[in-house]
Amino acid sequence: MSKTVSVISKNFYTVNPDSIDEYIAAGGFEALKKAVTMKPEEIIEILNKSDLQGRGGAAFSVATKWNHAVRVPAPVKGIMCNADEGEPGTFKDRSLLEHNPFGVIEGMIIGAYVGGGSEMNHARIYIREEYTYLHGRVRNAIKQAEERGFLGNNILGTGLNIEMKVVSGAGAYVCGESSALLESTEGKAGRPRIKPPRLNNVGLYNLPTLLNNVESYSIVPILVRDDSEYRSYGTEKSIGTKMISVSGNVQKPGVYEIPFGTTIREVVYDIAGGLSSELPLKFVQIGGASGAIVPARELDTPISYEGLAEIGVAVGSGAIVVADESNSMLDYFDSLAHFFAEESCGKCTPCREGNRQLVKMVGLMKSGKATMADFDRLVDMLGLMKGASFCGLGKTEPAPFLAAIKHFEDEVKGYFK
Amino acid sequence: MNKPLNSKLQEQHPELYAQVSEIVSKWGASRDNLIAVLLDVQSKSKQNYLSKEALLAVSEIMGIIVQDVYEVASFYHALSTRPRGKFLVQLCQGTSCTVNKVVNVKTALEAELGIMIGGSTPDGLFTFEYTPCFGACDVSPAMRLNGKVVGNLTPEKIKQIIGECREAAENE
Ligand SMILES: Cc1cc2nc3c(=O)[nH]c(=O)nc-3n(C[C@H](O)[C@H](O)[C@H](O)COP(=O)(O)O)c2cc1C
Ligand code: SF4
Ligand code: FES
Repeated sequence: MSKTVSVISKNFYTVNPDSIDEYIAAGGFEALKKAVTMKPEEIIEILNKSDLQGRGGAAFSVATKWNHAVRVPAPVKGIMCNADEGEPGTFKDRSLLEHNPFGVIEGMIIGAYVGGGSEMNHARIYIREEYTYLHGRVRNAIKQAEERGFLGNNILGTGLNIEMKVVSGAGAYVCGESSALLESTEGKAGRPRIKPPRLNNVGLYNLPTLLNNVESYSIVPILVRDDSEYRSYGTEKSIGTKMISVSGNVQKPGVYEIPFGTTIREVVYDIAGGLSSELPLKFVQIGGASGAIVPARELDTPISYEGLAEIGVAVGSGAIVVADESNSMLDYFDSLAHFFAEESCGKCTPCREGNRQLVKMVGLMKSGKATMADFDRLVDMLGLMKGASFCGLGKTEPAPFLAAIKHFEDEVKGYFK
Repeated sequence: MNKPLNSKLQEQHPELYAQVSEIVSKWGASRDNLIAVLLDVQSKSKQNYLSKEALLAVSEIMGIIVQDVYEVASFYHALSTRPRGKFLVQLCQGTSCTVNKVVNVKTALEAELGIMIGGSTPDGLFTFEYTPCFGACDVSPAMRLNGKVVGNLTPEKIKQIIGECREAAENE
């Protein structure tokens, strides 16, 4: 029996992503039509019942966020979709935009109905430059939705007004961070803003702003229309399904939809076809570059909020990078350190300088000249970055390093004399 | 408009000025279109970058002080303030590419191009850059060649691709 499901990905390969007619024929916009007959609170209650957590990495309750939006009334609001997807190993939003762009748009319109203002709301889909080939598809979907009256003035006679646009990134991982995303959308360098004020109070163009990830918005219409199928999957504490991206040393890398509770082992061996080499599996990294490293002995851990939490790991973006025994921790550190050093925006000292030091440290480890005193310095520095960085980038970056030091202590310490 | 009183940019670079004006009128002159404008202006440049004159033109025409324009142009990976080759080779060295031994591809590229990562070939044909993960991990190791994803790379494939680029340039 197949271990993948298709609830969020139901329209993949069956509905032409460039045709609103096909989307509508497959039940598209029924959720929106139903939503506008309901009170915002009732819609939020639906999301709450499935305990939908944001799928961009931070796992913040969507219902709670939307509830905040209702409680901050304003005539005009920002409704943003985060399609920056910069987390290494993550490409599930790419497949959602590619195969189901109308689903993302419908979710955003429902979001605007719940948490938007009475005048023309600014809706923006921020898509990374690296996905330029998808900008046209999403713009086309927006245009078709406008033509059918799902966007623009007085949507479905409700008085809701939305002007929706695609905004291109220009290559910067930090722009996935919520406030940096806003800065970039406003045409500035993408450096995070200080919080508070939180963006649900002061966001895009200083308007109260609702921001969610591509996958989060994609799930909304599915739940509003009929949540029974989605709710039939998952575990008691993690209801439903999750889009994951599997890559690395596996036979069949790709995007898959799994019910929460599927184990890491099932994903690697049953879904992704096992390893691409004869070598045994060494570790997987879950949730992107800032996700923790999980050693082979923990492969039977279920992928669910509570299951992963038990081993100190977060679901994150849903990325699973698989590494076999041919990979040294040093090479992996090298990749991570370079990535973060390139991507640190330079605004705060712990992350900017910490990353320079990390790159130097990896160089030292490679040269064979690193000492145990350097090891202590490394651990101190990671602690400092975690505790003192300004935004999530520097705060979460130490996680994979610390996990590697914990699980592969002998190997890592072997690089220090 | 934020045009300096004695600016001669329009007289000195009429073609560039007209081109930038057209791009700005397509997107609109408001600040939030700056990144889109810069991406478009860059794409029209033969050397794949934003020259000083181009930045000044954007600044004047959009009415944004040039320091702000430069800050944005220098912040993002996709924008370059230095000339780049006709063929821009951007190799990912993210986690998934790393475990799929991108290092062999990097060595092959350096050998084939005769330059180290971060450099350009003296003939101005190639620039070879590092890039963070661009979400093509399912076909890792991967690179972008003038923005287009090329995946499942091997040293043999590199030889072939670079050969094809050279051929295309010769036949121009
Ligand atoms: C450095 C950094 C990068 C991030 N990148 C992304 C991203 O690419 N996509 C995304 O949806 N969220 C990203 N996030 C999380 C966002 O800040 C935010 O939590 C999310 O977009 C909210 O949507 P959600 O609640 O639906 O997940 C990033 C956070 C940080 C700190
Ligand atoms: S932690 Fe600091 S330097 Fe690093 S990306 Fe965030 S704000 Fe910029
Ligand atoms: S890690 Fe190289 S494309 Fe994602």
